[in-house]
Amino acid sequence: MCAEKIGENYIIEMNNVTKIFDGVTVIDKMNLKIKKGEFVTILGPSGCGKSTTLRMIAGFETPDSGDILLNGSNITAIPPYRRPINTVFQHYALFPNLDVYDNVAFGLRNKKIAVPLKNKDGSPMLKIDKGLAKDLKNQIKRLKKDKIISSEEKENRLNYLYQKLDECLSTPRQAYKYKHLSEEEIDEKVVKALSIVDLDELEDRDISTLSGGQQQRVAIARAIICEPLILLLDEPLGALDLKMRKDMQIELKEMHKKIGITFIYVTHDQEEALTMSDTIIVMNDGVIQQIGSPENIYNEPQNAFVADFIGSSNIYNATVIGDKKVRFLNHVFNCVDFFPINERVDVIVRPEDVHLSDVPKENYLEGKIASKVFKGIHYQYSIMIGHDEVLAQSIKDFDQNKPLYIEIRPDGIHLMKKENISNVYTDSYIGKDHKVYIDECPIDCDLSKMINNSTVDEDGIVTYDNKKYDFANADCVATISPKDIQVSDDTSDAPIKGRVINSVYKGDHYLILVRTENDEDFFVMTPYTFNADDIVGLNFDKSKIELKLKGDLNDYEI
Amino acid sequence: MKYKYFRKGLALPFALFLILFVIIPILFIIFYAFTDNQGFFSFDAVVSFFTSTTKLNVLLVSILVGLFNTVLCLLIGFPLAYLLANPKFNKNYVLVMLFVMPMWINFVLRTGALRDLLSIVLGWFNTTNGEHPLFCTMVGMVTNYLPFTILPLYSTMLKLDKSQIEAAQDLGCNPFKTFTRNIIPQTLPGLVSASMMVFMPTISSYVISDTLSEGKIMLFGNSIYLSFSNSDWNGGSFMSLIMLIIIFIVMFATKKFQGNGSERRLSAW
Amino acid sequence: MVKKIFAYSYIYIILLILYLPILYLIVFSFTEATTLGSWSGFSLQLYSDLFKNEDVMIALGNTLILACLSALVSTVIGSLGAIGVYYCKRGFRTVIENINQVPVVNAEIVIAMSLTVMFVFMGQNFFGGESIFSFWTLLAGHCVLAIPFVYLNVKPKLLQMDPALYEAAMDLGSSPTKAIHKVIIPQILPGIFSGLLLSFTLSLDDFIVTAFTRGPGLLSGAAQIETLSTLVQSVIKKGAVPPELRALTTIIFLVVLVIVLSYSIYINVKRKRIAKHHRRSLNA
Repeated sequence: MCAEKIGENYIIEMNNVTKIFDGVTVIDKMNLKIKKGEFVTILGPSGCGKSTTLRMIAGFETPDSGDILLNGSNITAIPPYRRPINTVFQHYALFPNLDVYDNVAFGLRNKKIAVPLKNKDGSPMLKIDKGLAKDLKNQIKRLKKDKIISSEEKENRLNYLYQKLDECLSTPRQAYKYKHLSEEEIDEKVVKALSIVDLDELEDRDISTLSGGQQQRVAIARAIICEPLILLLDEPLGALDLKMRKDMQIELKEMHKKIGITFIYVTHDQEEALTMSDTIIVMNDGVIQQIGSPENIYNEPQNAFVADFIGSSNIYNATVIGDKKVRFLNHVFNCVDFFPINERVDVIVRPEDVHLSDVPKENYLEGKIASKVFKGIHYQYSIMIGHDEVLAQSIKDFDQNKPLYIEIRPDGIHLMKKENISNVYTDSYIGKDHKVYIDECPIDCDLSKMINNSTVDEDGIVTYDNKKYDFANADCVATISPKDIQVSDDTSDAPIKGRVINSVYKGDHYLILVRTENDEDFFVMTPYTFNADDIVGLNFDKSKIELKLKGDLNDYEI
Repeated sequence: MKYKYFRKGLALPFALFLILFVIIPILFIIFYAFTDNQGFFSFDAVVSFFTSTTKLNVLLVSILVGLFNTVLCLLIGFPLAYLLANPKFNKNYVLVMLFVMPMWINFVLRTGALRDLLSIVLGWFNTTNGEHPLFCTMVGMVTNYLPFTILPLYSTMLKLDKSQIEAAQDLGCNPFKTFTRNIIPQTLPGLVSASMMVFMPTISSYVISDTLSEGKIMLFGNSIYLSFSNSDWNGGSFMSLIMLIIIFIVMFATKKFQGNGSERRLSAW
Repeated sequence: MVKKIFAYSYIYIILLILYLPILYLIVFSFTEATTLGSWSGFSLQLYSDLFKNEDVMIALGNTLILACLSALVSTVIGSLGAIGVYYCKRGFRTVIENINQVPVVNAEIVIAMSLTVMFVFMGQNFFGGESIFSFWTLLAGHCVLAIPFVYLNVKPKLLQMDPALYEAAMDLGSSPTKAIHKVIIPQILPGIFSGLLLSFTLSLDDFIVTAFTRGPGLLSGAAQIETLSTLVQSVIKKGAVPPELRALTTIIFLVVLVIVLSYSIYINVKRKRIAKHHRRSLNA
């Protein structure tokens, strides 16, 4: 329980933070450390939990479990107005009733400076720190409500907090008097902040008369004026037009260098993240996928989601067939990553790593141009190699009607461990009607799968070894491979309906994640594209559903 | 977190007030409607209401007067609102304010003045208010409720889509057809809410009929007031309950009606 | 042109009919004659009679005190309630809004009757059989009329407001109380103000709820509280509108006229100022 002692170099640490909204886990046991002074970007599709993460750091949301540490001290139970952290809001949230000057001065007028108190003889005045005690009590209260951590750990932590509380209540510390800033001090700082954001002459303008870019600058000035330890930016450039956004990206980066405080920036725009950040945190579905430098994230994505989300890429199912040899696109390629033989892997090839030629050469594969798009500096080609599609870029203009030859060199092939994408439902059961209930939906499965080499009659009674079994009300585990689920837009007669959470293209098919109302996840393979948030229906290849009984088989004998 | 409960806590006095002075009184009405004056469960009030032809007559007359008043107010108010909202005739909001301004002068005083004026006018024809109670009541009703019809109609007229009217004319509608097929459907929400603002207060009004008909016309409101003056809490409560039920039926019906109206307009395309 | 003349005469004839009773009182307030419709020369005698008439002055005082207090209480409860409900969960919000809608659509006489039976019951059962009708029951009655309208006036302003403002204020170090005071209240002030005005006028004009829920108190002392409405109602039941009240009508009319005119001017000026700002920002 030394969480409070470690991490001198880290300004923010999140330890096992979980956040649940209305029964849905938005952030799942997140662990995150952010170094002092860095420009950190949290990147992910909408609804991935990135804004929630930011709001927990700001203090607008309280984690249901876990701790957030600022400079090593626990701030989880501290309200936003007592955290030395400021935010630039998505739509700026400037106060329309105040002018530019008063908006910027708002934080300073709330701020109080701690002045150490002295006794009459000049020695420091000591008092019990009631604020700290209150904070510790809040932490204790919060911990008691935590339903996620184990009771043993809870016990340990509570003991530790009680010990700290006793210590705090028994040892007097330096007492402080809190003083507001004088108007002169405020004025000086406001002028300085406005000059940092280049708004020197707009002090007395009404907010409603400012342009979007100017409002953006006021929002930044308002947030940095209190000299926060961290500046949080929640998609601050989303409302600006493209050109303005590019300019602001550069300016923000420069401002970061000039002020030197930690910036935590939230965006769904991968290009923005790549150009501005020192470190990128890629998130999806409440879980951190990868943390690393922009180069690292781009060149060495850890999984198919990251690869697909950052830049466009070709992702294929592949098999390792020898020492640094991998097979995909029906060919064997040399690669640089080492994986054990026969391992099934995902292969990622960036479009710019696909070399093109219009004449056949050694090691080049023949393909057909399916489409060609002019992108300003280069052309983007979609090339069919057999049934697989390869995206490639080239500055050369190839003839669309002639065959094209491609080469992928070893350093352009990136291998990733395949994610486990089997659908396993441990909460399934067999109803009285002898149907298998997966996600509370009855499916007419082949119950003979419960026991090997058994048979099943029309009433759903399973016969094996001359014994009869009635599995009504039995709990079981159902397993379905993603390729045995059909997904369609037509939800009318599908047994299970759900919302598409994400979709990753894998060369010749998409792997999509569908979540049902009951929060069950289904991975589905499909040749068709679906967008996030589409409502789809799922149909099962009933004969392919594997069933395994939970509990003792003999209990069901009749 | 604490600061979040703080802002929600601001709703507490409001919610308590609504429960204490809106919900509980209505429960009391229901309680009193089905008890006798000893506080025991009884259908006395129900029976005495439904067996009394005078009371049933009062209800019928009230509904008729309410309908009549609604029709009159709409007939006078509709063209008025149309003219006021039409920039060809009126660009000035002050004129609209002038129609609303009498509402700010004490309502009982206005009703008294109207009665005095009517008695002078009727005096020229050698007759009195007491001899024409219905006429006097209707004049009072219309002059009092007209501003309530004008306001909702005026605000829907302002939103009137002129291009639709032109399109209707372009597609060969004569002025009458343009009016019934386009202007009426477009202003339907305003018409419904104007009718509501007139019909229900008319049924339950007390001062106008009491003053202007010199007590000769009893509306449902007068009936409830009478039972209040006689300390007949049970009878009064039951009549209030009936009034409450009528109000909610009308509210519910018009809500549906308004919804259908907008759908019909959409399906026309 | 003919159309226009037709339109204007229609508008002004209706307007004249609406104003006729009031104009009649105003015109005859400048004469001493007490009988209906007779003119005995110009005089301001009725105005001095008005201020000497103790009943009217007491009723006027009661009406104003009641209107001010009920407007104030309603505005505070209604506005804070609107802020609180805005931040509550949707289920709770729907329930509260539906309850709030009840007094809005309900007939005044039903509101009055329901409050009366509750007060009667409470008096009989919790206050030893004594009547609890007093200034406080009257105030409660007027608040029931006004609070729903305050809520309905404030709510749209809250919906127009950027929901992040409250969080922004806290982010910049304001405590919850300060954030509401410095940021939320200024945003919804126009709604609060129109709610205040509406509750004031609702209270001024009310007769039924007053007649049902009043008791002894205020300037009336041990007698039943008389407001302008109840006083006028009781005197016009016996005969014509008393001569002094004609003078009172004139005064009320002038006050209302001044308020309406200055409000229109204020709106006009504001509109022009906004237009000017827009031009300026466009030029910039």
